Amino acid sequence: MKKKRRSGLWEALSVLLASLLVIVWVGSEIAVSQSAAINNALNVEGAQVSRSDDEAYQYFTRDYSDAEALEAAYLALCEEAESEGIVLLRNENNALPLQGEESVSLFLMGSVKFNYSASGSSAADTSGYASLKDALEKKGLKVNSALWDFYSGQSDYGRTTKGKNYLVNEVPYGQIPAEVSATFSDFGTAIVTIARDSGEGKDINANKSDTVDGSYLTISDQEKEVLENLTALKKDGVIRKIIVLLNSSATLQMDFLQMEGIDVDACLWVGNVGKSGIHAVASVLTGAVNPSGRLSDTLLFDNCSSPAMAYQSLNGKAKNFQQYYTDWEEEALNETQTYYGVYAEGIYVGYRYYETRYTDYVEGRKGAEDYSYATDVAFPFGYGLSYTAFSYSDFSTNLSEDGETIEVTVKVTNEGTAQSGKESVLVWLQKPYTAYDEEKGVEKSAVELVGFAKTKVLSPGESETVTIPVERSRFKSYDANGYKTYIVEAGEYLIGVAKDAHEAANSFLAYKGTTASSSGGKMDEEGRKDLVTALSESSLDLRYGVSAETGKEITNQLDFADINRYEGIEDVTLTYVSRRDWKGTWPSALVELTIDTDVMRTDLSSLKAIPDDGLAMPVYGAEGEMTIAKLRGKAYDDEAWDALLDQMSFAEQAYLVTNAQFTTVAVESVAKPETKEDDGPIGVVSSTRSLSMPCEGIWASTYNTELITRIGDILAEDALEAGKSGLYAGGVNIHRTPFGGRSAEYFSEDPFLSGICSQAEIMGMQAKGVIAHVKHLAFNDEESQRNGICIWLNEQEAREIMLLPFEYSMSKSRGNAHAVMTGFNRVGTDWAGANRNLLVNIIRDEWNFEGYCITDMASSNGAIYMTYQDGIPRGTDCYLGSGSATALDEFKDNASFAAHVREASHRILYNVANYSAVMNGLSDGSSVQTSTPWWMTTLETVKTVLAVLTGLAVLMYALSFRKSKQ
Amino acid sequence: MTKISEFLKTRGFGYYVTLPAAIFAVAAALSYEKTGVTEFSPNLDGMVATACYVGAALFLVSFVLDYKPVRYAGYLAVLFAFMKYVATQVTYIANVLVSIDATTISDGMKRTMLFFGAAILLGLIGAITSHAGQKKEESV
Repeated sequence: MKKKRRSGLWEALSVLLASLLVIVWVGSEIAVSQSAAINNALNVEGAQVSRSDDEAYQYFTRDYSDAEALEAAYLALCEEAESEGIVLLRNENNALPLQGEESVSLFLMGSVKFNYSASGSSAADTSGYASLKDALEKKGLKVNSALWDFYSGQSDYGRTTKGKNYLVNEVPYGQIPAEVSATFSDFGTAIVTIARDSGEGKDINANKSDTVDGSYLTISDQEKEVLENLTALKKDGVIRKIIVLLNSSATLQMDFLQMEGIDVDACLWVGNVGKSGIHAVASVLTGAVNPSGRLSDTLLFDNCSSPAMAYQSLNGKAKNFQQYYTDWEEEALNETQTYYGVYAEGIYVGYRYYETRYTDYVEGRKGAEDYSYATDVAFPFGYGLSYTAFSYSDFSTNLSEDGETIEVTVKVTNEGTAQSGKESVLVWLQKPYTAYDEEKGVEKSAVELVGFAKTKVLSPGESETVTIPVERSRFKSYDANGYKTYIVEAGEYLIGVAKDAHEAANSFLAYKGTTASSSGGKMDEEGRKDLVTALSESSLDLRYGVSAETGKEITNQLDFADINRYEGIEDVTLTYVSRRDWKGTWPSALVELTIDTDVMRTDLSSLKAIPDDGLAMPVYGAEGEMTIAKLRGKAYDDEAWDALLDQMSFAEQAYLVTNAQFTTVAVESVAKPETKEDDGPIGVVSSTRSLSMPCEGIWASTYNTELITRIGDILAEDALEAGKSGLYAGGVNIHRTPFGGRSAEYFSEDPFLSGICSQAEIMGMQAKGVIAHVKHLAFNDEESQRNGICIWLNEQEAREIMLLPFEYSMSKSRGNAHAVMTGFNRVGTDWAGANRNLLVNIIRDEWNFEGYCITDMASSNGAIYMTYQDGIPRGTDCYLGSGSATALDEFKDNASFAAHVREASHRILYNVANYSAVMNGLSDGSSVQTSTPWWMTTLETVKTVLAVLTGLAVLMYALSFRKSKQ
Repeated sequence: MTKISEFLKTRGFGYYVTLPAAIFAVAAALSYEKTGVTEFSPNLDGMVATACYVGAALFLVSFVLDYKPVRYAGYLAVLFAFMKYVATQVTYIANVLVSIDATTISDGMKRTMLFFGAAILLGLIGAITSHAGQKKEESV
């Protein structure tokens, strides 16, 4: 019996150990396949690097070695950015600033669940962040604790999601207990926080939310009820004033301000505020800071009024961005091939639409006859009030000697008597819309932002003369159908300063002689013609058809992404919105696409043939003593780089190129240390102190590039503190519609503002040796079906709107970002990381971009179409994924492919050598020794031990069983 | 018929769970072949299905060769198949856990996991417990 029991024990042990062995054996294979992610999570060093302490080899310096000092500086800057970016939209009845020890009641769940950050690549741990109550009390305000406690206790309420849909889930007003309502008269200043979430991975739903019209960006019935009740209480004298905070990076629909029964005294847009920005909210509310922000997006009464949303609104009740090829089943398309999105609006994104249509309406252009600007627009782009008032005078312009810069000068005076403040001065341009444009489909916005600057703090009565340089190249337009390049047509170009886009439109109309009366009341305000001047172009100018960066000719590169020009689509025409006939070209039907042609079938497929570029098979494993430290400062095309690359093995290059998930790996043969990178645009995800900045829209609303450079600088400091020398930032896609999911991580609807802000950020960041990985190239302006969705658009919109921020960020003479991240989406049918027209012809040949191209998360989301075979020969340099030294073995005998791998390695090594703080301490004699991560060693040990133990247990089981039988 | 029922009366609990284990192993393989290719994993791993079929075969063989090691080998084969399945789906699972894209576990994956779970559990029970009834001696 004893022997039988013993046998049973060995049996159980054998089974247990064998099971564990199977699990650990395969489990370790899984772990190795995800090694990049694991190394990142465990912060594992992949190599030992010999570094020198000699000052001569400290290429980049930090200002903060003390984490506490860094945090203090970061928080101060976050607060400063927020305070300069908050936009005061309405201030009636002397509601603001709040006075002395005013007593406030904070309404809605948004007050207790304030929005500090976004989800996804900019997620931050906000659990320790100061609350709105704390911030206001710190400023001396008395906060209604009974109401605060009521909302804090509402565990069943508060913003939430259901599947892919955001819900507001607000507490009904009627649930506020009587004893709490009784306190309102003692805390008579009502602050109502309307908060909305957003983030990576999904767009904001335009329908299926619990709001008055189903759109998440409209107020809910419960929020409306609160505002109505507060308005009634105000009428009764219980509540003294109602102040609304718009706590959302996405633009809320503002129709609630016009709803009957709602009377709001003051309204501020505060965006997502970051870790300490809430104190700025309190400062602005109390007047400690005079708001100086101007809107970086148009705020609308109807979020579906733009041409982009008009098109999207045709797509069923859900108003989804994505459509699907109607024959996807017959064509057996997979999930990454099935969807597409259409940019039918052309250049008419944001204010470009509203102000141009308004201008055409006032001027009586065809198709603009019935247009009500006031129905669509609540607050125009650039709008922003102050606690004081500024006047503009002495406007003048001066053309530089070389004719390439127009200096716009204006005197700004603080006309107020009590408050000091800053003023953002915005410069606008109107290009002539000609008969040629109408014929050739060259669209021109009636107003375009072309320059801006911010004054210093001006005391009451004080003036400052501001001079803003405007590049003449802003006069150009992209002519995709005629000259197929940039043109500056003959005609009159109007330049002026105005406080916002609508004032600019009116000023340009005034300059041309239109008045409210002469327009029959169509013009809603008299403009300032004294702040406008005209510059004449006498003849067509094609000089911008040649790249100023490289001297190469610029011509159409994106015909394949235009439904009307792509050879793979037959018998389908997309009518782009045009000011030649607003009504006639307004979206009235969806464009339905099918996979009709073999061309399109092939183009949509993955694993395309590797192009034979006639390149020679590279050399590997050559003897030599080149290291990347020795090549610091050498030009990219210096011969020495060839000698260095020859030293590498194919396996090393393959590993470098395929395993770039938050890292670039160490390479022993050329003494390249491992680098570590992290997300994201509004804060380092691995920040040691959970630091985060306000949303990028707030930065843009400051119109203060010096401030944004300091933001880039402090983001870099925080990254370095966390052991990172690269940041997947800044986000420069466009706020094409209010519903784009990643509004927090992108700047604006305006490409110029986005590009200038990004440039400023990159300058600050890269000066500290943290490489900016600008993202996402390109046309990744929505999140819906982002994995593989085909984006169809015309070249003019592509170049003037969507690509302009990238151009400014990546051009060598401008932002000079040293890396770019491509998007998950397709451009036409081509994955963005596998198109030479975009990744070579445009960004390298035109923009002189010398950085490296990294994919978005390739090994997870994109395994089926973001392939090595497609990407590497077509412009991708490295993959955000877990690769290996053998990942490219099947291609190693293909000379062209191998040559592209080598070139990709070259780009990575060049940029790390010259621009990464990881090089600090590396001298000519430094060495790098790669090592196996400790967790891999541990797994191997465990596997071996388990194998031995299993073998022993099985043996003992067999022996004991035999004995028990005997 | 009587002989069969007499025979079946002499069978132990393990005997009755082994056949369902084999069926679930085959079902897991078939489900994987149908749903295993996703945007996260473009290729099927032949080892998954092969290991499932080997496990199922070993379960069936154990009806004839009433040896515990045979049944344990079947169980380990299915366990191995399951782990290989997880390996092919790890990026999909990671995407669900990271919950950025609001990706959810598909019905196909749930079904496959269920079949694997049943095959492993029943296979292990069938391996541990006796195929023979109490009167007949267990052979090795």
